[in-house]
Amino acid sequence: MDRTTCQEMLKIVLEVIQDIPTLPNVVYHLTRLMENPATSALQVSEVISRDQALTAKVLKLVNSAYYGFPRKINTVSQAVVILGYNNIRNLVFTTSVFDVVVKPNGSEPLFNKVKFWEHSLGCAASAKIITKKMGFKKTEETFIAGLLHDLGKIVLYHFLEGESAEVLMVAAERDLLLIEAEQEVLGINHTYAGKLLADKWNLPRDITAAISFHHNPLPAGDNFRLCSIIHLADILSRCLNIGSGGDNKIPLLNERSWEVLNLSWDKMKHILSEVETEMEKAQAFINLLEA
Amino acid sequence: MDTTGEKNISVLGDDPGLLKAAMISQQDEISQLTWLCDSMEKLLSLHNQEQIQEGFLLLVEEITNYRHCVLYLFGDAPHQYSIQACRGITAEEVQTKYQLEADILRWVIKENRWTVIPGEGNGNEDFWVSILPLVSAGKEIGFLLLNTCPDQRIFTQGNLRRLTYIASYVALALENGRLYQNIVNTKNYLKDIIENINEGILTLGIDGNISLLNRNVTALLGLASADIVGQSCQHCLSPELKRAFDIIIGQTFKQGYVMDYRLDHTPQEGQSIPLAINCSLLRDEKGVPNGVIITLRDLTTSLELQRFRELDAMKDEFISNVSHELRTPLGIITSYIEALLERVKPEDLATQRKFLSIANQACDRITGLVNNLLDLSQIESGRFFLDLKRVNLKDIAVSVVKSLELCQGEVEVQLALAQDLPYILADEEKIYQAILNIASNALKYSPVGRTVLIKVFKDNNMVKLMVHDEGVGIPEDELPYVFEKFYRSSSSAAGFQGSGLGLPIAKHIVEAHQGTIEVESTLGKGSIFTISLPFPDGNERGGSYGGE
Repeated sequence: MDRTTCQEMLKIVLEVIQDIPTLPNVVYHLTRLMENPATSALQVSEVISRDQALTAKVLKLVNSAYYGFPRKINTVSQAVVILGYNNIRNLVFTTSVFDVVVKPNGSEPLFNKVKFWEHSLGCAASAKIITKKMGFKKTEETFIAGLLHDLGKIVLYHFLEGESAEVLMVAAERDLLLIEAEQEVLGINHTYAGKLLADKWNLPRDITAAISFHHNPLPAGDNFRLCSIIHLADILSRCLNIGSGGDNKIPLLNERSWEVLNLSWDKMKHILSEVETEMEKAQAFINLLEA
Repeated sequence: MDTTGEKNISVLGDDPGLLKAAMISQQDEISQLTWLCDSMEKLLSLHNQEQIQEGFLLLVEEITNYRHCVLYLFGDAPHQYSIQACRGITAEEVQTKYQLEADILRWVIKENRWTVIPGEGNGNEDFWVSILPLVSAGKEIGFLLLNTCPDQRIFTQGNLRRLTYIASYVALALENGRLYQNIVNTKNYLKDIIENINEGILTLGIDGNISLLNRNVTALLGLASADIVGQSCQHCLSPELKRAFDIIIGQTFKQGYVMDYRLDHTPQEGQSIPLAINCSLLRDEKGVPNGVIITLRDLTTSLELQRFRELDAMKDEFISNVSHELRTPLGIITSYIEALLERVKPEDLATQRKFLSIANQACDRITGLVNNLLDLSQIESGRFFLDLKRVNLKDIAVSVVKSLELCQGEVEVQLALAQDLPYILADEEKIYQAILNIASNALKYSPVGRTVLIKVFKDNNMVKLMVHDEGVGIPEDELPYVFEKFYRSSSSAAGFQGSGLGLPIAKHIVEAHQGTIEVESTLGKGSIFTISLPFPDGNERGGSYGGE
């Protein structure tokens, strides 16, 4: 693809993203609040409570098997003090993103939507288990980053169906990775498209990084570790045949990422065996989001 | 999307007050985190559990201003926890006030995050109960239960982050403290074992420097101080020990070990310790030798025990011999007296006399044996005294021969006495006993028709008495033992009676008189026992004095 067509395609993508609705303003408000360490549970719950639909969804999710708290959580402020700020923030983000990308206009994407979300879920579950096995606390962050890592594919194959049909054909015919076919046909790929949408939505920096660098974590800077986790989780969920990201190839594992993650094969075995259980819990989470 | 939402964004985005507050809070957060890092560093350097707890509870109080708090720690059994410390509440009050629900507790510990436990009143309570889990590297150490004001300013995300970090560091510090204590306990236990073991233990590094020693080593080797760890082994040991250690260590490096190297060590004048030394290579976990371990065993007790065992065996044999010795003459006495009473006619005086004289001889044998036993008992107990008088050895020899006449029977006894023998200072009875023991032995081992020659003569400044028999003789290898208590030679075992007491008693008596007793023998030809006694050089001595 030559430079002019590439420029034109970028313009088209930018226009499409322009048309994608913004996230509800409660998300932005929440982001602002969360920038302040002195923010209290009451302030957070007040912001969420302004949006009744969101409040209902949050309460449904916090009481789901995914979080598994043994008692009923009745109020949003209780949810904050029980699940913690990060969980609530991620939950609100995911709900809002889902509302925008899953429900719009009724048109079906070019690929199997169910399989796409299954793949994302597989990546999310794997990322969470990897994080846990590495002894880090940020399991919720990596879960959400895994869930949203292929956000760019929604942009390309949902909102830009005409231009992307060829990509899928080329990938299938020549047995390419989707990202390789995208680069060849469109001149831009889903990681970049995803980053553009994440920027528009002001998604947290670490999630944006995971979207941008999950195929090549090396330039991720501070977020190299997180991007490496998502990179490995993406490969794992493909190896385990969980859903489909639109192609059937398994990307090569970045050597530096593997070094930094420092996982023994013994630990990998544990991770693989735990992913399945985590998938079941995560499925319940997605079902609630889609409901 | 709703329009009110749009409006809200612009309002919030442009609100300088909100931004300023956020910036100030971030700055506070950074300074708080710096302060926290210092506190954590201090906590992590502690090994004492109570100090760690104290520091932890103070930090938490600063952040949450709790009304009271309870620190629980998990035991070894799963889900078993106990109160470790309370602030603002007693342990008894805790039991009545809080009933921790197991499933909630498990959930909180699994989530590993400071969590407020919802009460029954939907957030309208006048206090909040929260739980701060203490988990270190996946290991559940315990948790802190907090009772605070239901103040929104306490459960902020900054505090949540801070407390969660503090908790994981404290869990680590407590776990480290526990491991440290375990190491100390194990070390003390090993030290107790090393110090209390019956043997001396000494380890040397590959450079020959002492790396460990127990107090038995200092005692056994007679070292001046136990404070020689790190010093060269060569500098701390006597030349005698140094030589022995060089040999032992050299052999150990050659063949891997040395077993039971014997050394009679003299740590100080007049003290001798028989040592058995074992040595083996010390190897590190890769099998590379990095020194030697030497164990020293004091054999004094075990050698004594061995001697006691031998003595015991000899005593058993002695008792069996003596019983036999007593039974034989008693049997003779019994049977002859029975015959006298029942079969010999009262008028047959010749037979009566013959029988009585046989019984009399048997009585003499018993008397001799009992005398020997008494003498031995006196010698053993140290109650052996001499009654020294001027006596002529010749006279004693004559009276011995007289008393032997009764039993000499088929063996002829010849006396060869030199003239003008000097008198000696002796206990006549005891010397008589000694000569009798030797002479009766000579008779006993002489075959029928042979002669026993008893010679008394002067040789230099000694008066000597020689008993020469033509008996069975004594094997050369047994000669050194003939004067030992209970010893019976192989020839005497071959059908000759005896207690093994006669010769040792004789030797003791002669030596108590400053004399000597010697033996020469040719197997099958006979033996010569020679007693040599000193005679006074013109000066007379009298009275009695202690022998031993």
